Amino acid sequence: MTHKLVTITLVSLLANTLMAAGPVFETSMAENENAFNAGQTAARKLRDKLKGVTPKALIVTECFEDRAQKADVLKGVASVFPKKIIHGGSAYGMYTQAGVLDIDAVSILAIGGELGVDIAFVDHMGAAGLSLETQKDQLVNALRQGGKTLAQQLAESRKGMLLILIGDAHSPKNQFLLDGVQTVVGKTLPITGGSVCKNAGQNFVFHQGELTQDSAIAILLTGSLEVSLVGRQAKSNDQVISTAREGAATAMKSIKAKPAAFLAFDCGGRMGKLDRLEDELEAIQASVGKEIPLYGCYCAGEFGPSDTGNTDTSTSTGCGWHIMASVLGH
Amino acid sequence: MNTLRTARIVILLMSSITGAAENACPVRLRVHNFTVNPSTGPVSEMTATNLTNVPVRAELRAHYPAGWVVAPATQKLSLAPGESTVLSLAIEKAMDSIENIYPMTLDILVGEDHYTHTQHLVCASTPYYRPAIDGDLSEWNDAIPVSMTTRDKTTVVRSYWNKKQFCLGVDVQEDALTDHDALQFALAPGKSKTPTSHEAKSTRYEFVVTGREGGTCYQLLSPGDLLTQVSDARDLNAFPAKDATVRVVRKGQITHYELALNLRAMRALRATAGREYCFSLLVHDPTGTGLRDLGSIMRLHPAESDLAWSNWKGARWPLKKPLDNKVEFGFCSSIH
Repeated sequence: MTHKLVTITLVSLLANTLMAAGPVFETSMAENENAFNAGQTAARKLRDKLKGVTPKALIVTECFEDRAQKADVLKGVASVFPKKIIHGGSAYGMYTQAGVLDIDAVSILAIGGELGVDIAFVDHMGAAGLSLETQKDQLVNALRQGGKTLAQQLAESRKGMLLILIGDAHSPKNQFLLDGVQTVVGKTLPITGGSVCKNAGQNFVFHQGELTQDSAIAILLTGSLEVSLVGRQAKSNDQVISTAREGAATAMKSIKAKPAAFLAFDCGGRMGKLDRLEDELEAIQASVGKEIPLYGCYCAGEFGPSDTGNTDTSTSTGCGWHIMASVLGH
Repeated sequence: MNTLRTARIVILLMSSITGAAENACPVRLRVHNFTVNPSTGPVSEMTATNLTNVPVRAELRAHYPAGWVVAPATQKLSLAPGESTVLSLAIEKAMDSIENIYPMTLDILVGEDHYTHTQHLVCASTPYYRPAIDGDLSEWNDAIPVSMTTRDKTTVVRSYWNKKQFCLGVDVQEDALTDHDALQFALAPGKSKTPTSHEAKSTRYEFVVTGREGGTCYQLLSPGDLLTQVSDARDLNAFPAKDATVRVVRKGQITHYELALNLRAMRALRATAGREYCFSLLVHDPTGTGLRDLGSIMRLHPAESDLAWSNWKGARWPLKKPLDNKVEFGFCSSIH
């Protein structure tokens, strides 16, 4: 019996190791008026897709109405996964290979496998309620310091391949948060991410399964990961679709490694311009295919290379009206 | 060139007959409202129409408030006789105005002739918020107000949306609130057009709110309704709006109208942050200023049909028809 138990354990460990070879990314999505059930369903779907791989971090995106429902989403996810790995933020909508949702829905991106994942968090930045028009200096200082405090927690930033930044600082003030981060990590580290939904009562960043405001989270990925990051701006229906297709195609072509995931931090303004919500996702799928794990969310500001002509496209900035498309490969 | 000059003389003669005070520019321009806050870097659109019966080529240069950055700085225009087109400019840098007024000027060069078009733009946007409909308008400070003045009386229109509601907070300055006073407003999907045939179907949701007994809301039209009934003086009592919450409160010289409508019953609007919709509003004040028309500050042109606004029993209409019910507005995120 002991011999059988040892054999089973060894086989299981071997299977886990083989399955986790290289980075692992998986996504899931669910919609349900009952927020807890939505979170739990999405988490269970994700667990099934991971096939025994233990995720190191989850990025949860949801678009429920109020605080209580958002808390229930996280409880639903936490009924399947440990709270300490649950991060993310509120958004206007989200998409995966399964489709696009913008009401009473949740999506989850799991990050795991042979990949280093370092999480940093800052709250009480002191930016909440400040106006760019009347309190600019105070606001800028608060966000820059917040970004700096966040980045200083990342011990491995020099080895980072990609930084995912999610913050409660919408465009155009998201640039100041990024400024603070870049004073620590420098301007060559690829940074992507988005600002959480800025609707009154809906601006939440998630950290270790809890709702927070006036806060930001940074997820640093290290290891043998190749990253291709492209930003494209659009303000009309046709341009949203064409830039999504072209941006995704450019990101795919720019990577030599085998693509392991496609991430899109997209703009809520772009979503509002779509005559048909599915059109942008379909344009992306035309470029990346329907097999690769695909995670997208509609944000109130984006981090990545700006497409506005007069900026250096190799440096990440904080801006709006963009899709920040990343292809991660191994 | 002679043909164009002749066309301009015709326009000038017609202008003098109609009493129009504007320079006889062969191109009519209307700059659209911002439908999100300018600081977010939206696209600024304008409609240009060739008023002549000859082709017109023009160059436009737009001047926005000081410190704004707009691209492109100039645009060339080429229009066939009677043709309309929509031009776009990207607002790359702008600041929001607390007063919600953005003066701008267009320099128009047609051949050797120079014209000027001046317009005060507004941000016609509806932020996300869920107010309590309780007659207390202090929650409306985070809305984006649009003001109009009619015969020295001010009307301020504010709106909010959330996933369940479309909300209006309207302040009407008037000497008294009478049984004949009312708000009348319409919502429609973005870029809708008002039909010109009585046999056509409505593209709008249309409501009337009276101040009687604390406020009552009536719904006269939904998309798909036949427009044959628009001219009828229908009894409002037969058309109570479902799921509407209204409070009308009189404070000094101001009548405060506050209401919330079921947005899920207006699915045609497809409300989401960033999406445009059409809106306009009339204030019926027959014993005071007469009809106040939000379209009057939006540089709308006279409605092309009698089908823009529904008649109802008790309504008193001026001789001059109100403007179209379709002004571009937008749903947006909360402003802070």
